[in-house]
Amino acid sequence: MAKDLNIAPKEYEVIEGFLEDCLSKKEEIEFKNFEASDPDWNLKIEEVKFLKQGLENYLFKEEIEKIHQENFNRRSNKLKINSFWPLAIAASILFLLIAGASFLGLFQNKNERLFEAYYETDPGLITAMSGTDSYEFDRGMVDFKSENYTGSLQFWEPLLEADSSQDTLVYFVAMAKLELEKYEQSEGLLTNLVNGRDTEFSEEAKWYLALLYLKKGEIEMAKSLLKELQKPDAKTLLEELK
Amino acid sequence: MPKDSIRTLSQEELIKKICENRSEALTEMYKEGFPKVRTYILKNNGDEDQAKDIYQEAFIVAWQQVKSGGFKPENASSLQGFIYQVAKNKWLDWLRSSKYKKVVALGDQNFSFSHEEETDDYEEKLNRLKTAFKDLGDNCKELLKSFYFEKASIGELAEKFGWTPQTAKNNKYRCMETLRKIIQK
Repeated sequence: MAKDLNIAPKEYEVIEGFLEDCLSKKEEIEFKNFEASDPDWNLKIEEVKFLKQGLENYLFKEEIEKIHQENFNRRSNKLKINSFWPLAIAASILFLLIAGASFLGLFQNKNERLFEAYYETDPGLITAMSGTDSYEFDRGMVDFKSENYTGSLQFWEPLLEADSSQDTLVYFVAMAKLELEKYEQSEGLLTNLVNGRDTEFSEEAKWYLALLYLKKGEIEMAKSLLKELQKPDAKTLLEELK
Repeated sequence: MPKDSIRTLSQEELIKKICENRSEALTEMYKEGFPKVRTYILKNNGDEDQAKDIYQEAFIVAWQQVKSGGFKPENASSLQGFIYQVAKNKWLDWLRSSKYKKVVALGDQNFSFSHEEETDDYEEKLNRLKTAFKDLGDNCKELLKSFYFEKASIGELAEKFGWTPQTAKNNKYRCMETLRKIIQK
């Protein structure tokens, strides 16, 4: 992997299809076009092949190790049992000390600290309360801006169930869930926005998704999103993560 | 899969399941073959850990042969017999060479699955991949394992994670790129 190759999603797809020998007619033409126009094409094939095979080999090795541990490791477990209790007691004391320190605020994960330092609640939208069919949404926004996030979701979630294609709605449901610390649900919605079409919320969705990745310790995922953002905070945070 | 059910499978059916990395088939195969190899190695100057390492290497060789289409079953227990034979040969090779070579653990370091022709460079890349995979987030690990090991389709990934198929495709790409970037560092 000496050369820094840039492999686009479509290229991955075509190469994987080629390696699996399952290209459609259309993809075969695309493959030939890439082959003819890209001097790095063979290198890209080699790289994808390596990743694909390497991953499968590694995961296979992990799988059989797991099978072995589950079925044939009784003897070594028995040997370990005599020395288990002193270790368990020591570990429990250590755990209590760490838990105590955390409780007192003496210990906080670096990622958590950064998340809290950079996280700011979205200010929400101006509401007109016009009595039109956006009334429910606007009413939820009033609650959102009053920091009554549970209240806002009571208005918005039925709307989202009925139609999940409204980017504004998806974004603010994600924000409300984020405030309520329903991180996984928020992440799912933000991921859909980031991967969907470009909208006025794409940038903010990427920013909050990057913060969520950071909070979870998925630093590389956070960094890859931050690199796509222009906002100064994103650049500063990226620097801190280097 | 009930216990011993691989015995009810034809070699072709078993090979198909092994190709698909079906966990139940792999487990039953592994459980069936290991005691015999362990007995052989323990009787021939080896220990439990060495038996495990040799057996796993032989198991991987068989898996790779099956996947590449290079293994052709000749009778009802061909695959199991093949693994035993590979393990036995590996152990004999090791015994013959042990006077001259320093013992190298066959576990974590020897990720090449004993392909002698593989270069150090390739092994180093595989080790980087292994380390990089461990650095990925849980979601990426699960997604990549589902797709590349369990052979889930994009549609199945979408269903499993509650995404649209396009989102599943995008996330798979993003995870692979993240993995690639970590390896390149």
